[in-house]
Amino acid sequence: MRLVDCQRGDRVMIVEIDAGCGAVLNLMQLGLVKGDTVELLQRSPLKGPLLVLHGDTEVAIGYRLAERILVEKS
Amino acid sequence: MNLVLVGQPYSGKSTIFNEVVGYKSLSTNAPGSTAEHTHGKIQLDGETVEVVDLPGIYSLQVSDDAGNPTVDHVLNAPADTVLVNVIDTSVLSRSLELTLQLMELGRPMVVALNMADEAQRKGIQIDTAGLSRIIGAPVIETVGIKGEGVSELFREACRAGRERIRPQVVPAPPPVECFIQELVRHLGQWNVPELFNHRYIAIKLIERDPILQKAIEPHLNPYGHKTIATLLQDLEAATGQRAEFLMSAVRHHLAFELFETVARVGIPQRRDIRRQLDAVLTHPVLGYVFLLVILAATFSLIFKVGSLVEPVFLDYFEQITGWLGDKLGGHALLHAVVVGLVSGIGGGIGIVIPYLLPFFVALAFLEDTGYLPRIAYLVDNLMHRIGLHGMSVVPIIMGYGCSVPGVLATRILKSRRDKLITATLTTLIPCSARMTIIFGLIGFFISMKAAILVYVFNLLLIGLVGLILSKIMPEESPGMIMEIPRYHLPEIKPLARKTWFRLKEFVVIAWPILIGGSVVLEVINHLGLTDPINSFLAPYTVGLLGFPAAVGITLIFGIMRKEMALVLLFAALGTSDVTSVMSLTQIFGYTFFVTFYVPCLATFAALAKELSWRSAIAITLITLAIVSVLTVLIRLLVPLFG
Repeated sequence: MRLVDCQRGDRVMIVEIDAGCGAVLNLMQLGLVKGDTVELLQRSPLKGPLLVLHGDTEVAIGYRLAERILVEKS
Repeated sequence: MNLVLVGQPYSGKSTIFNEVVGYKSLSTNAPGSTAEHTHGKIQLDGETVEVVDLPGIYSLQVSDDAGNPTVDHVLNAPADTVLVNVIDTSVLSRSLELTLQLMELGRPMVVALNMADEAQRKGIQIDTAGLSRIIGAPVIETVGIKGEGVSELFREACRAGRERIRPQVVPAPPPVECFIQELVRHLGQWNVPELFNHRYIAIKLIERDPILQKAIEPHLNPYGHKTIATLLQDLEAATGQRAEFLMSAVRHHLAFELFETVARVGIPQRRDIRRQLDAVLTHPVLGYVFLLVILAATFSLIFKVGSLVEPVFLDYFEQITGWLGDKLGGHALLHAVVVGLVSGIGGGIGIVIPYLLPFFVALAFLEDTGYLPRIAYLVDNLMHRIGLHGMSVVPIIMGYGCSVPGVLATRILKSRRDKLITATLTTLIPCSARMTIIFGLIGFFISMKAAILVYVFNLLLIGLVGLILSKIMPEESPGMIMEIPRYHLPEIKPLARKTWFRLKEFVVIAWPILIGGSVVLEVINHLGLTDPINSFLAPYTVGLLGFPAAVGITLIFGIMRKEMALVLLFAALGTSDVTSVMSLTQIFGYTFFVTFYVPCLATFAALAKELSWRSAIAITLITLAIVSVLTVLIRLLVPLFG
């Protein structure tokens, strides 16, 4: 399942980030890596970014990147 | 001694900085870059200490060779530097990843567990003594806003500097650590100079850091290159991960382990209402309703304040000009120069105090409450359609105040392409000076509705230009990755500082050009060059755009100072009842044209400074071409609709 397929309020574990080097590093710098659990807080309309809660940090992730983040319900 | 505050964004560095340095801070451009850092001197136990506040960073690892000014500053800081790592305690685990990187540098450092009260409310308790033991550096709990622990932090920092207390080396897990050791051994054998300690160089080599690779290039022979390449390949084979991500992943796990060791997470004292706030303010529907209401309220408040205050200043400067006319009546050229000077100074004050100051206060308020990043989140999608990102909204909103700080704010964007497109669109935003033209001409002579229509039309224009530019310069971007900070009650000092820095960009760059421009214009007038200029421009202004010939000169004036075009229009037409000499279509077309045709001279200078002369010229030509076409369309189409 991709992050974009989740519903608001879902808590999911990141299984794979299938994106370019820069994007993976940027996510890592915000503390988001494979194996972490995030909660989907908000989706914006028309393929806008998604807002996820990771630990105590809210992170906005663009739709196209969120399409390439594979997750599993935890 | 030199204390450098380093921390992740929103960790409260600047609050701590303001607490110790206060208003005595200075802002300078870091050498070779445009990003600002703030520094100031303080007296501590009889010693003068330099304190530097750097823009927040998440990591010292940079993925492109453009580098990052904060990272450069940390790496190249003088030998007597102590790093003061400020951490938002409520996101300790993540923050420790930067701490571990700073420790790799092997410089004296201290750690401030800031916002300690916030963390306690969340039920997080930290064993500070334990953390200090493990990392081998003093750790102090602070509450920056209340000033708690701040003086102790700086005392400990000085002690760490005097006693050269260096942090511990935290080893990586076995396979990776072996490779680091191996690299360190080689670096020693090859006599690679210790630009940094060899362990740090080894780690950067594993990260394939482009800047460091370049720096040690001259010290490696072909054999060295080959050895490093082979080692990295082996490392990737042994760990099954790309070397670029490896150290970051290692630090992620080390930081988490460290967090588990020193932190106890209990039950939060109370539910955080701020999260409920976000359920509304970032809501897919309600979020946009609130966005419109908040922006409309902000702008109308600024406009109200401005229109109350502005006449006071204008009257005052008109009196001065009149008085000068009496005194210097005999010396016509001197009179022209002095009147130009006075009207330039007056024009600046007439923009700054009524409009720009309230605007920047409001903007800093939106920024410091944490709402601005939410605006970026909400509009990200829309901005992508015109080839931009959510963060581009910051320069664009700022452009409604003054284009100069707006253009300079494009430095927050990463790629040159984004900067270029955002800067172009920012120059097309009607700044507060242009607002006076729109409301003074269309609002006054046609209707308020028509004036609002110009703003709507302007948004469409921006959309169109954005679309065209993003077609010319397509991009492959992964999209937004941005931390959305907690809501926060703004504090006066950082807000004042931010407002002042932005205002200064207007005062230093735009104002002198404005004053110079006014003098030139008065002299042109005095020398009687108006008519030749008008007839020179006539084929364009009359033939193509359909304006009266007399407005030609006002377009030249408009390049220097946008709002001068309005004042001069009355003079050029010989009446302030514009409707008697211009049709409504002409008024509408003229206002539209004069507002957007080219960036004013000050904005042009800002574009050249932030991008390049070539880009500034290109942007000017592009906007002139597009706006000319649209004005012709207005000329042809508006009469059809009456």
